[in-house]
Amino acid sequence: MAAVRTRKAIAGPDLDRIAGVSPLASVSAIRGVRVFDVGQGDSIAVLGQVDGRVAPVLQLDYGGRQGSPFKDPADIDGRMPVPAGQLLMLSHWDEDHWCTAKKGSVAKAAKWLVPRQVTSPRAVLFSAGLEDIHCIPERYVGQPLRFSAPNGDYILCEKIGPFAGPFAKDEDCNRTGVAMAVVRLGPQGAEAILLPGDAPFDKARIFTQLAQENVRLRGIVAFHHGAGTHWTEATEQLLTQWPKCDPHDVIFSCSATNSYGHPDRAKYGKLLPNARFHETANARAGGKQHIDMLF
Amino acid sequence: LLTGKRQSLGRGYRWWDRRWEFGKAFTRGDYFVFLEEGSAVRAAGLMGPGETPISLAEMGERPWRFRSSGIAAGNFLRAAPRVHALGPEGVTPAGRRSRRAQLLEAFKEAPLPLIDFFIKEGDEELPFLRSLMTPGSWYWIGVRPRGTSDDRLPVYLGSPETGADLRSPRSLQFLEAVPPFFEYRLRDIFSLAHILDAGEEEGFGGEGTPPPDKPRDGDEPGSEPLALQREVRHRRLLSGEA
Repeated sequence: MAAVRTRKAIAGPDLDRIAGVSPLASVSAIRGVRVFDVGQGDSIAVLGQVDGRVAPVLQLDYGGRQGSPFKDPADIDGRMPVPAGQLLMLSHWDEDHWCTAKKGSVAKAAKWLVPRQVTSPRAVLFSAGLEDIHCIPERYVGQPLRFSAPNGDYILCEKIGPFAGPFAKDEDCNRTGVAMAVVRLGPQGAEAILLPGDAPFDKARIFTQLAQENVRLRGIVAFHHGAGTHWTEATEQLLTQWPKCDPHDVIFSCSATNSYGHPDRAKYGKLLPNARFHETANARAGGKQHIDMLF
Repeated sequence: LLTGKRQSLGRGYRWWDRRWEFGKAFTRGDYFVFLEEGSAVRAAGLMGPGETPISLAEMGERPWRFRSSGIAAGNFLRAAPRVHALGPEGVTPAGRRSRRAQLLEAFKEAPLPLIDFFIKEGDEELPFLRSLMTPGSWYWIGVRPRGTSDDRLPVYLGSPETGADLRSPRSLQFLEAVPPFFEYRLRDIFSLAHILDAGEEEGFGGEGTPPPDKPRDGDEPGSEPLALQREVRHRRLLSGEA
């Protein structure tokens, strides 16, 4: 019965057909996510089991500003490889979510799928330089868009708010971008890793739907790099009441020192007292270039 | 309307008046800027827009930073006539491709720096700035050399691509609303209108799935966002077409 409810609630248009690519077609199972140390910003690869090995199959964001670890373009390409033609999705157009792509080269050859938003002149000119870039059609705003693997694992994406046109004022790009969830159908039921970008958790319907369907929470890449602002009662309720895996993890993607004071560890610690917490800055201090969160 | 020459749209309105052009109303150091964020930041370890350290000793521990990116007004005025306005009738695959080519050509040599200006927490002008300056909006600012006893707000310009930072602050001379027609052109040009929707033409996606029951305004073929519709109606009214 639960499986039927899950299928009904989370069914949505196939993102494969919308995007024209099927990043999970040759994936035997989704393995988790890789959160790269990029300094202040985000860059996340979804990992899949492909031909007996773990490989990145979809990239979400390619950012990093303050505290960037990269020495030169070759260093970027080597640390965060994106095969030509692989799908690269943007959560939103804030510069700390895409700017490393401008400095490197491999990400520019990816197949970009992005939200249509009001954005900066720098973002506009960068996007104009990309050969293969498309926007998620606005008709799908608020709908769960789905990539499916042959074994039933899946990725859900949602453009959480509408684009009101280039002349609309006061658009908050954190609330009109893309949220993502990676779901594995494990032996003990479905488990999810949440990738909200900078969007508050409760703004993404796919998250609330997953929680309602008792898909257990495997982990979170903290929204807005662990910011303590823009928390709502709904967000706190969602996180505290969500059934969780043991263990479950929270990753903060931010630089060791940053002008914003990210992350707010106390906020997450209070809401998720049994979680394991990780910071990309600490990974760097330990000689690592990324943190993997696996199912 | 699109050439940058003096325009009167049938009723004597001069939306693109020579008086506004570079060297007259606009001077070197004038920028049109898109505000990306305004928030309190930690002064310790603060980096400038070019990702080099800056010092704001006089600003206290938690100054407010208004971070924008923009273009020198003169550069924009020279480039804008080379980018055709893309109204609703122009939002086609061909129109989008043409817009992309025009963007790359018109702005290939125009720097687009990040511009930060700072104000001390508790400054009497902070409430005004917090209320007025909204992320996602455009402003016209004047940036000038900073004198030794200058008490105007410090401004840093820089570019993270090149690491080129102006390590010494300049001063914010003024903050103004962008004149309406220039804002129209800024918002139209610096938009994502050059990017096709997935499935808008063959080769990227098929969109074989049906649309939701209640599509948003502007999502049906031939229909555009309400703000754009209003703009077009307004222009047609002014030009006597309506």
